[in-house]
Amino acid sequence: MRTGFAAIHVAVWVLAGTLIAAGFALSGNDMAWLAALVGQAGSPNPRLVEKLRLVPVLSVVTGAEVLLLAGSLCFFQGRLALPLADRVPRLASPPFGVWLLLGGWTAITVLSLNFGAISLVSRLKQSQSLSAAELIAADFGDDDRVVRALRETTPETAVILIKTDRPLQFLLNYELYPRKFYFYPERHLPISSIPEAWMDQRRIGWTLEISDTGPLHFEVAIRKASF
Amino acid sequence: MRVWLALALMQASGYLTLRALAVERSALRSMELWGLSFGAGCGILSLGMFYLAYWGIPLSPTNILILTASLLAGLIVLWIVLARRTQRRRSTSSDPSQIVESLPLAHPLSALEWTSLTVVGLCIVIVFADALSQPLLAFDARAIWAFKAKVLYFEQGIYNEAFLDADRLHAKTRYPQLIPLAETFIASVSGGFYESAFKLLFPCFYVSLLLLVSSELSRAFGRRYALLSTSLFASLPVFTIYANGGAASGYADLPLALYATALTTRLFRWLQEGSSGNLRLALLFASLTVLTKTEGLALVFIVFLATALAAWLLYGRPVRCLWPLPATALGGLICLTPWFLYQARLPVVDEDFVKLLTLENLVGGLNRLPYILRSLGKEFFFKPHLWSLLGLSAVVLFLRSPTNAVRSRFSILLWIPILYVVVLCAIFIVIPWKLEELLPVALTRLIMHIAPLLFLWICFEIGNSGHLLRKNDLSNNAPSRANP
Repeated sequence: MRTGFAAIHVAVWVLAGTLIAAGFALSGNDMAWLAALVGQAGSPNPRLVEKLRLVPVLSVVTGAEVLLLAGSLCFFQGRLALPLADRVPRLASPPFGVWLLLGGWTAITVLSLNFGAISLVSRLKQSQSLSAAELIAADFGDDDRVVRALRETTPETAVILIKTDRPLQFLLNYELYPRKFYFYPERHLPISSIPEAWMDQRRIGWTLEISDTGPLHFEVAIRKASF
Repeated sequence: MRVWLALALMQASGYLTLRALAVERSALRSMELWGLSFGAGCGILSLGMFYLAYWGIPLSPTNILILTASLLAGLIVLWIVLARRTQRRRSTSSDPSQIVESLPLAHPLSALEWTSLTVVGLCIVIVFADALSQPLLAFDARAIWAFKAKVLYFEQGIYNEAFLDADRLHAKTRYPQLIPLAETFIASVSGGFYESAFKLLFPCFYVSLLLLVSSELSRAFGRRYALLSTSLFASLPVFTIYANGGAASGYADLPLALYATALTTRLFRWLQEGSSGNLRLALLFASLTVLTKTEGLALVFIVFLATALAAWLLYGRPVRCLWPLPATALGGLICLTPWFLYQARLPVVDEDFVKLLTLENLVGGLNRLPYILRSLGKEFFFKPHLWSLLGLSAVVLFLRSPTNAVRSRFSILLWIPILYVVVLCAIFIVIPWKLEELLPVALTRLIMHIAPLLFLWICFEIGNSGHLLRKNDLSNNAPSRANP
């Protein structure tokens, strides 16, 4: 049996309606469940939740586009019906499977393009009055307190002993360059137990200790250097 | 403005290098040439800068400009000499088979082709706008690649404590330096370390990859099919909207995907045409693949192994005729001797995969395999928001005719992804990390390295099945077919 033009037309109308209705239904909802579903770690992270807030808009915009397509199909019905009937293969035939895959790819392409554009516009709107430094600070979030503290208290030539397991250490290393960060090879040794000779050899003048887990606690201290 | 100059210098260096290496005109078509030029230029300049740094010459802006000018001048002279020789040869033998077949470009574009081109254009605009609209924010882009670039730019060398002192904080000290060197090049030409400047590097790699995929498809199929497929590839969400590894993120995974795809397609062409120009290009791309990321070494090994097996089993070439393959691979690695010697001096702070990959570790870690396979399954089939229907399409097409899929002449495009996934599984089995923490953040980026090859295999498989082409005439102006 061939898939008729009318069936395709009805499906397009239904899809458009469903997308628009879903968009309105989801608007204002908490998207944590979706973040857990699509998130890399299987758990919601704040950045992803922020992005997923755009899903209702995405659904409405895509619905509107499909609506436009449905309208166009109405308009060009006469011209499209015959060629389409000739081209669309029989249900359950191998070519139909390929067409189905192609349809799926196309649908995701449309969604992906829409999401890219919506997310870009939304970000530009949010950040239009912010400088690059402010955007970086916003990206650091609470961790920006550490960046500011180090920037304000230590000179650019500072040599700092850092003790933490947080990945933040590597961002500080980049952000605060040319400050030099060192770590003691036995990572879990308290700073007070680290041999003075080792610190002197590296001319360490400052220490920074950041809590490994839980809420952010940190302590920047100047070291009485004997080198 | 100077940023665009830096990017133009990369493109020009790459263009001239490729023209010099691919002496025969048939080895490269113009779209391939433009597609591969940026990656080749970026790589050749980075390699040149690494040689300078290795021999203790400071990476000052002046030295970098002298290097670039000498390279360009040398390549132009070489190009002129080779062009004259080729012209002389052509005038003595006017064999019509030497004329390169060109696409019927004058043929007007159909509505589908215009739509496909618009999609590709929109994807490129989104990626460039995304890159320009915000500073460098992704973790690896800052903590690993841009940190190395900062050290290289401000300390103008590789023999400093930031690289050599094991106690100095430095994420992934032993990672290859092609991307940081390219960022340093842009910073040196543009006159300052501006993140927004070198963020443009990665969308350029994305455009190059699109051109490469498109040219590879248009070589085998018609313009319409090539454009439609390229638009689907361009819009893969993993490239356009993925924040931790996408084309605007500043990660090295997309450049590695480009180099691995360039290497594979050159060897694929060598299998089909046997021209030595493709092997010279493969040598270059083998070097650049290894210099981009640690995984590059595994990829190069797998690509050459798969090509050798295909040449022997599918193309019926005697084993004794396969010597150009190991010679090319070896040549690529020899070009990187300074890098390997230098890398041996770098402290081992993170995991050392080569030492970890022992039979004992593999057997001991087999209990991790179910979790790894589940994660791979989830990645390929349940993440359409990253991979669209890539995994599903591959499996459906494979199951349609497994024997044909493995034996077809383009099956190396499938073998390489499969072998790479096997190697990844082996590494995940032995790695001393918690997989529950590692896989969710690393798997997508690792799969990205072989995604273009898998996509090309899907396109070749569908294209040769005839389901789209013959019945529905999607490829009505195909100049040739890659027959199984």
